[in-house]
Amino acid sequence: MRLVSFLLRRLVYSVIVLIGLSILIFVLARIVPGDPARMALGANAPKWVVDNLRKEMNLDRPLYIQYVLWLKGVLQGDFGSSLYTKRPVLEDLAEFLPATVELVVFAGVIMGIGGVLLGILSARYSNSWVDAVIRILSYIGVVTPSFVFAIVFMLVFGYLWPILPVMGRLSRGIAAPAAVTKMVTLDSLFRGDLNAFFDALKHMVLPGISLALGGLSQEARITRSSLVDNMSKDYILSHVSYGIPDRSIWFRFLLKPSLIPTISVFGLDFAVLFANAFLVEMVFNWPGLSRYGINVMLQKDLNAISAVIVVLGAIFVVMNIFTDIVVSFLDPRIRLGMAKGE
Amino acid sequence: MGEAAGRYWYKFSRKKLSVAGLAVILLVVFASIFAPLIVPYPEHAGPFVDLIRGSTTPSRAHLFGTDLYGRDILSRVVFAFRPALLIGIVVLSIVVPIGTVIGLIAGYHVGHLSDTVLMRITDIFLGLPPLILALAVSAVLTPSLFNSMVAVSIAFWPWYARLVYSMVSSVRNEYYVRSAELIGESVPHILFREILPNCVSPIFTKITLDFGWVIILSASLSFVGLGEQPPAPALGTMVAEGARYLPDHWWEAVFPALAIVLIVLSFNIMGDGVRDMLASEEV
Repeated sequence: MRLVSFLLRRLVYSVIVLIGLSILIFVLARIVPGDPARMALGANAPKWVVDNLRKEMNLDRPLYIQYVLWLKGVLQGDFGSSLYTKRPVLEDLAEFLPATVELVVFAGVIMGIGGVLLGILSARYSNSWVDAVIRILSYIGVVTPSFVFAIVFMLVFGYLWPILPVMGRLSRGIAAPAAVTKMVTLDSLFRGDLNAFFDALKHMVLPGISLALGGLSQEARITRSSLVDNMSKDYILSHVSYGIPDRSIWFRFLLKPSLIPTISVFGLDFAVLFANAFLVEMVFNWPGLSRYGINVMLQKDLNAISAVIVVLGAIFVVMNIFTDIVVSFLDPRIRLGMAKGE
Repeated sequence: MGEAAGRYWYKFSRKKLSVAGLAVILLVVFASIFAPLIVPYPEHAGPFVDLIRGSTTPSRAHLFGTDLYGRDILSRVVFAFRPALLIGIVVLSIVVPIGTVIGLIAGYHVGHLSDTVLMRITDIFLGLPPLILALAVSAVLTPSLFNSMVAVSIAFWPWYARLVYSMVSSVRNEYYVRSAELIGESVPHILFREILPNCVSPIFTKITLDFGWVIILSASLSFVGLGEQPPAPALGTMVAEGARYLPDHWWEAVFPALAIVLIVLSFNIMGDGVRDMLASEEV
């Protein structure tokens, strides 16, 4: 019961965040000098055509009415038309988002598994050279922007040691599977085309790792410090003094509580991957939301910009709620705290 | 005062790595101030074109090679330190006072209307990752150095508001605040003279750690073309332009990218040192 009301409150809060974000973009977009209709049509368009478009885009109405009209459309799944591609923004999103989702999910898997494993390794051998190496690398990993990783990998694997593809989603000569989900790996699996599947997977390795390394390093650091903290807690020390073997202490008592902070951070980092994908996709020529997003941003295509930003924001708040649910199931302190009513 | 500074320096200098970070930062600051005097080709920082020497590999004449237009990358990297540092300084000097004042007011009036309004607004901004916020803001503004400063500032102020808010609400009912209220001190006096001095060291730590993040965020914006516009040198823009000619012209992207990592790494290492230095100093 408490959980439900907790989730409801989180949901309402998330909706407020999204509305706040959309108002922010909306207001900023309208206070900058320049007429979006004129920009869309170019300097040579006759005035009556521009006026027509202004009317169509409701630019002649007061700001708050424009916003309400826009919001009404969005709630019905209508983000308006893109002035850049000249078709509904929703169609554009449906075309470009799947490639990004595919890449981000892949990167998320690398990030989660890699981060936890490195963190465990680091804690297991704490204060040894293994630990030192992992800590130094993860420190560098946290402060290095993902697009720098992308460039370094591209260089190393595209040039010095060309074992992995650095461009696009599929090798030349491999037919793209019929677009069902528009995610090449899934589509090729549906068709049973393992050849295309592994090829698509190979294409994701470098962009995926570049994207994942920042979060992975952070997860490794958090997992390590939380494990090391918990290792010296009384409940673990008492198990050790009972003579319970190390292995079962780790798996039965230590890992679960220690991974809770990692999971909370993972949820946030996963959503941040969508933002960073913007930068990494650019380097690897990945046909995802980034190329579209950057083009519409440079073109000042307001409908498309708002849609891209609102979708990114929505992904972030949904991930936040999801993480809260997972953590509250794992952590009895939070669960019971809610049952007691804060 | 001098004695306290000496004590702080002693503590800070115990960590050799942090001192190295500080040294690198001082070097970068020095290089960017005197950039026109120390770089080999100062005129290459602007709209200079020499297509015959375009995209040459690193050599003795051009240690980091040249870009497509024949401009010396080393010179451009050093000049690009200027907007990178400038954006850090400007953003933090906008964000810290605004965030601090909002945090002070909201934290002091816990439970009142001003607290609710200010902190709900702050929460909206905290509900999104800084990169998404900064992209959103700079997407609708015209790309320029100034507008990317605005975008990064909008992404960063709520973190200071939240930090100061949590500190203020925890000291809100301490005796020294209560007694200041009792003797009838004005609210500004209580906020800025009584409460603020006790919040200084966490704010200061956050500033040193954030400097690197501000630089990363602004480099990310200029990487996608939403920051400083060409031909002015910006690290992110240089990386993005160079990335188009990977792997053949590797030097065009790699050296600016390494410069970003170097600055950010140094700021973080130094920030860790500052945190340790201030943490052990109980006020």
